[in-house]
Amino acid sequence: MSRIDFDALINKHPESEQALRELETWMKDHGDPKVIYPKDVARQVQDVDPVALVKALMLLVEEGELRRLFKVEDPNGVLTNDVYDDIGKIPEKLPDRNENYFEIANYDVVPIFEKVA
Amino acid sequence: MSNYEEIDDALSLVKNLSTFEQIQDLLRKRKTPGQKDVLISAGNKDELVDRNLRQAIDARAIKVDEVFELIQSAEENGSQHIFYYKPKTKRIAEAITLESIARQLWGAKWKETVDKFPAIRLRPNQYIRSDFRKYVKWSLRERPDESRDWILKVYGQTSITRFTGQVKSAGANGFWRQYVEEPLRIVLLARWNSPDLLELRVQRNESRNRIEEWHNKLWEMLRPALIPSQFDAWELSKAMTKLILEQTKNSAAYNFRDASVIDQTGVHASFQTYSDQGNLFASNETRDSIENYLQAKSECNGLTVTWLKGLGKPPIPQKDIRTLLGARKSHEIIALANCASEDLDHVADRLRRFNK
Repeated sequence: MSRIDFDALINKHPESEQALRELETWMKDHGDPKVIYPKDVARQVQDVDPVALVKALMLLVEEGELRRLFKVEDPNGVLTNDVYDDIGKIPEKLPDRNENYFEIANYDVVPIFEKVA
Repeated sequence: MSNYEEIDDALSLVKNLSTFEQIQDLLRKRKTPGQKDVLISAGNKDELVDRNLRQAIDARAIKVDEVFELIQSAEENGSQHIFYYKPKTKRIAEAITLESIARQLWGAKWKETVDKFPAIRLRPNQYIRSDFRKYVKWSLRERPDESRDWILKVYGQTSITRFTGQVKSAGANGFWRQYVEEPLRIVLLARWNSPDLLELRVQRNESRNRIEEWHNKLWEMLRPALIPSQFDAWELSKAMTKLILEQTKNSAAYNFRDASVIDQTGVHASFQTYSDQGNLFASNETRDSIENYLQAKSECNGLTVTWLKGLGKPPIPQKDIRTLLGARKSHEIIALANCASEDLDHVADRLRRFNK
């Protein structure tokens, strides 16, 4: 899997330098993960505003380095198994981790980011 | 199966059940140099099945049996609830052979019936036995005659009423909710995993009532050959505890994502990683907490295990496979995604080892 060229990206988007640098460090420290969960990153990288972090991740999407997918947080606050590439494809009901189905209307749909091979 | 003519139905099932990659893999296996009837590339799944696969079958580059194997692989393994049972006595276990079961289900002329399998067509609002065959585990592939395993497959079809999510206002105090009637294809499977394990597999569904109904239906379809009173539920609590306590020395084989325990005073504690790919024991605090619970004679009543891709050739499991153990009942697991038959055998073998 190719490493992301953060230097080139920062040259193009200097306004996001801090978030991109933090993200680069986080990815190195975590073995260049295939999937990035913004909430996990935000919890561990507390120097960066979560909004700036998501903006940095979206820059990586625009550059074709990451793909944005969607998951749902279940009633226990953890992510469900199913993943969707289109928010419109998420069904009305989903199983939680214990296979109890819940209506998603009252729960958060969250983006996750997958590295493009 | 050789007299089976309903190729349109089979192709339609392949389209619904198999992934683009699985179909391409089958085509690739038969693509030899100079073989012009086997095309691999296609713009979409319809084209891949209706043009490429059909053309390969028509040219006899791919046998109809191979198409059935593709269907079997897609619908029989994974994305299922599996209920485990053990025969109450060794004598019962030894009597469970393919021939004895077939005789009791179809009488003396059972071979005539079984030779016509697999049946593909569904009958509305009915359950039918659609396949009954010998199954050879990977470990016996060089000695298939020694296999005592078999599979009974049951198809059913029913209509379900589903809320579409559309709500329209109808006057000051009323509204309309839109429901649609849809057919639901049901695939149930009984798998004798010799020497001593009966697996009843039913597909996942949002309704627990349906899961229970299908589980009971499968027992009904096994009558009079097998009845519930001949078996004990094979409870997995011991296996779950051992899996946790022995994870460190088996870290290349499996890890956990979620666990729930009940202590001796009845307190329930659940541990879950945030991400669905997470490893619960990546946190030392969580590992210590769960181990402390179990060392204090608490009981584990639910464990999501990720069985890691094997290191052999071919690898078994072929890919990481995630199972929820003790799903709703202590002898029930859920295989959360489709997988290879060998992968589910691997899970059953591991559970046998850890449940001693």
